[in-house]
Amino acid sequence: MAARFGNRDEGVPKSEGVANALNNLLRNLIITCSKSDGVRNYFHVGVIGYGATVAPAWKGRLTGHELVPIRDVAENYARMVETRITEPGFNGAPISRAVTYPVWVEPQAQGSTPMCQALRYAYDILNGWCIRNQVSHPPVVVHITDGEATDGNPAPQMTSLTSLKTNNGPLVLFNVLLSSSKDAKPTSFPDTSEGLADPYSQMLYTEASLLTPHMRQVAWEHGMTLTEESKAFVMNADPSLVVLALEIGTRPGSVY
Amino acid sequence: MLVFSANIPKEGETASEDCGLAQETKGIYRVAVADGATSSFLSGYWAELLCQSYCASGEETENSLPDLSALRATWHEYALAQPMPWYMQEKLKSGGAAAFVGITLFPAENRWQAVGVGDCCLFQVRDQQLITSFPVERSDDFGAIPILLHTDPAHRGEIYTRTSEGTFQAGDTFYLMSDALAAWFLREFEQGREPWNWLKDLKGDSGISEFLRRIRSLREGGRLKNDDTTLIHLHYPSSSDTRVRDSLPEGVTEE
Repeated sequence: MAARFGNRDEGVPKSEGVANALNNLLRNLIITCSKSDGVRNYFHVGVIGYGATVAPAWKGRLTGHELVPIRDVAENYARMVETRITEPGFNGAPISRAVTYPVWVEPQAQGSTPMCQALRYAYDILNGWCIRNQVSHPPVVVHITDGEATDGNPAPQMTSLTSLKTNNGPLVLFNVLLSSSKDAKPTSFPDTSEGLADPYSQMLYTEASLLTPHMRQVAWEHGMTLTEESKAFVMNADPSLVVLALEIGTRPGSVY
Repeated sequence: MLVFSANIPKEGETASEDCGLAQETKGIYRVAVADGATSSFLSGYWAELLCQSYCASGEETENSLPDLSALRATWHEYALAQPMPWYMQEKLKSGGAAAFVGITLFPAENRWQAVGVGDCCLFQVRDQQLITSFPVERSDDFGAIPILLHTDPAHRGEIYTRTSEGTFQAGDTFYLMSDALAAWFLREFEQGREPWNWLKDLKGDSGISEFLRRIRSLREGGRLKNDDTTLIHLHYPSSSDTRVRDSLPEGVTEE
């Protein structure tokens, strides 16, 4: 996994945390897909933002595109950001160095949460994609939210999404819930809903897919021991855990 | 010594990140196979450096890996000289990695020695018997996360270096291969078959074409993992050496 940018940032708005996690994921996915002769188009990638509007969240030259081959994502970032990071130096003493990295999506303005509309939009896009790409690996949907839907119960839309499939298996839905409480203990890939106090988090847990054997293997490589009942659900996650969740869901190669 | 060498890319790719090399210097034979990790950067070049350095060791008799610090410096110099976009610069930081196995044969002494890291394998067959399997001895031991030699010394894959040695005689055949073919080879053997029978008669350019056909047949039948596949075999002929083409193994179809 490539270096994460920033530690757990106190006081960073969740919208910015989500954007940071998404940009970091895209960066890591592209690096994973890149070989000596360029980026291999292992993925088509779509990002849907929902808040004031429900629409593709790409900026720059990708604005308005629904699904983009990952090579095009690599070559069409919205902007380059320069920042400084602090890390242990050769002798262990912290050193500060400048780094630059690409950005594709920006934080969304807070407002309503038309989650059902966004999920239906995702269904429409992926239904067509699955019909055209039956021999491909099934889609992985990573749904990141910091609040409840304001346009109805999203569970039926999530069930519709997970009914999509290709010849290689069903769509995998990750639900990632960002808590409003900093004190809440992060929960990652649980195999039971015990400890999920509120009905909303229980619904997100229930609607999330089971992790595939390959995903459990990837999680194991990152030091996590999961069971066959572990779900693709993360709650109260700081950005670094979200990135791990996203990478577990979208590593190239075998999905199953 | 009769030598056959073939390198087949993974299906869907145009180039392999494996390397197989054989070289004779003053009667000493050095043969090496390295399997570059496709997830790492310039791993094919790293595999080439490992094989070239091992095979160029000439009359050196120490049973060891090539000088990794020198090879790492060469790799980094080459990598930094390549023009690259932002994602390649990030990939460069992760470096290159490869599994490796090398064998040196001293015909004057009928002696061999081998060194390896990871899951590229060496097999020795005598009188239709598998008498050496190095460094992997069981098909179950081919793990999902192999040990590799890395361009970044911090990874320290070399601490898992294995060595072996033995003797050979006229009529013996040695097979060096990358992990996908080695796993198939050991599975066939464990199931009571003699997989060397369809490898030993491959020779020349026609042999490479035939090898490609057989590999594709096994891949399509799900009996061989789709991965870069490299084979080198060396045969030490006896005075009464004959080559008999046996029936094809299970899963390989006739044209």
